[in-house]
Amino acid sequence: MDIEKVSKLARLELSEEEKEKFSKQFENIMKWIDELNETNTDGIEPIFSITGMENNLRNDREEFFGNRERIIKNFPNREYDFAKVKKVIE
Amino acid sequence: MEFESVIGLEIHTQLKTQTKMFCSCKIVDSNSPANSSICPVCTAQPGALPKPNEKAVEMAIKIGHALNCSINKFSVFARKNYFYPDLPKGYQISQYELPICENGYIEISNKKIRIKRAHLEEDAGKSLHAIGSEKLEHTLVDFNRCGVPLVEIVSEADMRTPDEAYEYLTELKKLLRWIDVSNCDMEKGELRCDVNVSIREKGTEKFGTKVEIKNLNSFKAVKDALNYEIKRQTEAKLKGENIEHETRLWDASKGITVVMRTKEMANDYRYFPDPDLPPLNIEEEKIENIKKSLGKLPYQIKKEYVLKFGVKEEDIETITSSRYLNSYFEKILSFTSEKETIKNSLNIINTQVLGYINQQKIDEADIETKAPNPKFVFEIAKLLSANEVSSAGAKKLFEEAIKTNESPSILVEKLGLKQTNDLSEIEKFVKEAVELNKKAFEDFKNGNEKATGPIVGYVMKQSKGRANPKIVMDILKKL
Repeated sequence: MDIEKVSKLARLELSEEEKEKFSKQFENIMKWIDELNETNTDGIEPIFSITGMENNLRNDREEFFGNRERIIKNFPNREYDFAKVKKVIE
Repeated sequence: MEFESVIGLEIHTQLKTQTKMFCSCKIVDSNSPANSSICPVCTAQPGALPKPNEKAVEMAIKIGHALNCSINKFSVFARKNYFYPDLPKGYQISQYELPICENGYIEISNKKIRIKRAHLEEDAGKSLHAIGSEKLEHTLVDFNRCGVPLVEIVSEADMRTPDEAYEYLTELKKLLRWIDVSNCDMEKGELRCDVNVSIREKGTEKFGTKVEIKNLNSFKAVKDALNYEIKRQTEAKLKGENIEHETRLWDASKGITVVMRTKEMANDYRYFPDPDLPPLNIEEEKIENIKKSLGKLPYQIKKEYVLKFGVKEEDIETITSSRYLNSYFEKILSFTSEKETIKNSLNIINTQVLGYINQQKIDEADIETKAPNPKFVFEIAKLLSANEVSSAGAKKLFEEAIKTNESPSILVEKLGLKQTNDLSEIEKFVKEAVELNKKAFEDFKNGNEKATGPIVGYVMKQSKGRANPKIVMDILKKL
């Protein structure tokens, strides 16, 4: 288990201690998954959802959310009505 | 060593729904104030749950049908995980293992380009890196576009030349507009195209290392970028260099592709079924009804016209390129089934009607109300078929009919444009003309066809342009 790769993908900064701790925990999880992989699943359809619900579609009708200002206020940083973030291109 | 290129295209098309893919926010254009159409769902507030737009699902099925795909009645939304500021959830909702449409094709110049899949997904927000020419210290993000429904259409690597890619795009755009699921305006980002291109030695099967090109803002850019990239890869191969598997950006102003450098863009998306969204399970009946609602598609109509009216494909290209122009032509078909008149109508549409539409800048959607009355076109075409008007007369009739809004069948008399097919009258004029131009007639009899100029000129003058030139020639030949 490449803990550094996983933490990077998840944007989590881990201390050396944490890396060691999580590595062990992940190893156990992976072992458990390996065990699951040993089960014979021939002829069994994969399950994509466990709620039993399907579709749950909505009509293409506009509903105005009247409180955009609250969302904008929650931006970590704002400039005018934009979310302001670290520069992403060089 | 001779190389051939192998090209595949990924298209994103923005669906013409009123609201976003998973929430009820209105879709607004890029001129709208920043973050004016957002809600807890499309900005990923904790606890907010997505709910798919039925219309978008139906449009995706329409696309599948138009592209000859098999429609999966059961399909699944998946999370595509990556971090980028324009994607507030940290993942994009897309489809992965079970897309809604698979295994289709489009026909171009008698070649099939296979479609691997077409699936539903949501758009990301828009990042602003500069205001005008002024570069910003930070990136500013607008989430209005976040959650707008898209269908991604992935082709197989079946194209071999930039021209084929161009033709594929043209055909695809025509279809998407025809079935009314997208406006496909590339400038507005309603159609986006990424290409994959590699080269290999001609005659070999194995694919070379592919390069992805992004930032293609027009069909021409696609063609130019492909031409450039194929040349670059060929030269590298000939020099014995390796082609890197990479993403490049097209720089239209310089006419080159450059390696894309983005901070920390990981190509490890860790797709998994989205637990917030139950799978789609569409009734067979609904899938069939959507297919029926599409009616005939341009490529089917084209084949039918060729068979029924004996017209050339190039002559029906335009009237099968948009459903508005096609219904204009179909109106004429409701007046006549006479082949000659249909051919003449096509001629008038392809020249004068289109000329008028372009000149007056009539929008496609306004053709029904603003284009010249199709009845007029039919009447002129019929006069032409009956030899009752010359082609020059027909042009004049068209112009006058538009100006006065009077029926050409009345105008033709009013303007004295009716050709006379009265043999005895024409014969009288021809005999007079021969009398006056003996030398020319002599030359004509000796095989000089061009010598008839003064004779025909005289007949036209005497008949005030109403004599049918064909009949004049027939009489001359018999004299």
